[in-house]
Amino acid sequence: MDYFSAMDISASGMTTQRFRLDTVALNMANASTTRSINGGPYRRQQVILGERAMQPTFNQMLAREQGLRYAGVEVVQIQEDDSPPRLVLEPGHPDADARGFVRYPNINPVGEMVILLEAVRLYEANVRALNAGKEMALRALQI
Amino acid sequence: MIENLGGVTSQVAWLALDALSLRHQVISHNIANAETPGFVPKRLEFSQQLHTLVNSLGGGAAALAGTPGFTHEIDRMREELRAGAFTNAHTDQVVEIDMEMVDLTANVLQYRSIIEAQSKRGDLLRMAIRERSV
Repeated sequence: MDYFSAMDISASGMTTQRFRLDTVALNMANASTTRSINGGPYRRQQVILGERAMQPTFNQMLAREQGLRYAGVEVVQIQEDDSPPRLVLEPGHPDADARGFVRYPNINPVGEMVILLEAVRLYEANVRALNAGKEMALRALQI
Repeated sequence: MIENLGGVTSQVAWLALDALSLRHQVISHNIANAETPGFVPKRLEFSQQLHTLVNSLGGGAAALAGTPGFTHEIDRMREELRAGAFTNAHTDQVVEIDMEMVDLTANVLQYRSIIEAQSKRGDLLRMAIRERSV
């Protein structure tokens, strides 16, 4: 059995959870950005994950022949959250509209923290799976 | 060659080791996809088939050990395993991370115990070859 391919599965899980963590960091950092690159307030970015299919590379095809049928997970898309911006009354603010409201990003810090926590825990779970695979491989050397 | 030395137990044990490492991949895949929308976790269940295989030997287990017929049966089941024959969708539709972790730990323990047993078996063989305890 090919242990390295099995480790690839856990590695893909770790990569995607890291990516989610990065996105949360980006959202938190821009929680009060009123001028984004595209104009208007910053919009919350959300990561869409999807099951990864086997790639037609040599290594993956070889692994498939040896019985591996799973390739883990991947980031399918990064989508902007379309929910309306948070309106705050700040008449003196340069970005305030005619009524004195400033459009702040649609970011809820509590929600972001929940995603952060979840991503960290899932990262841990993937590390556990990786270590379990490593231990099995090491044991196999001891026969 | 070594498989034949160990007899029927070894052949079944190797098959079980193969199946367990495949199951490890299935569990890892479930954990990696814990947050994937619409993902249905999978489960690899092979103990029933292994039971049937061993029971099919009946009383003549020793006689059948290493015979082409039995080796063929083992190979057939291994091929089925690799083709994903025993992999089914989980009954529950979402990944329960704690259950997956439990499965993962149980899987490693099972793998370790088989390896331990096989290495003890190797010790016995070594003792027989050297005509003294090792």
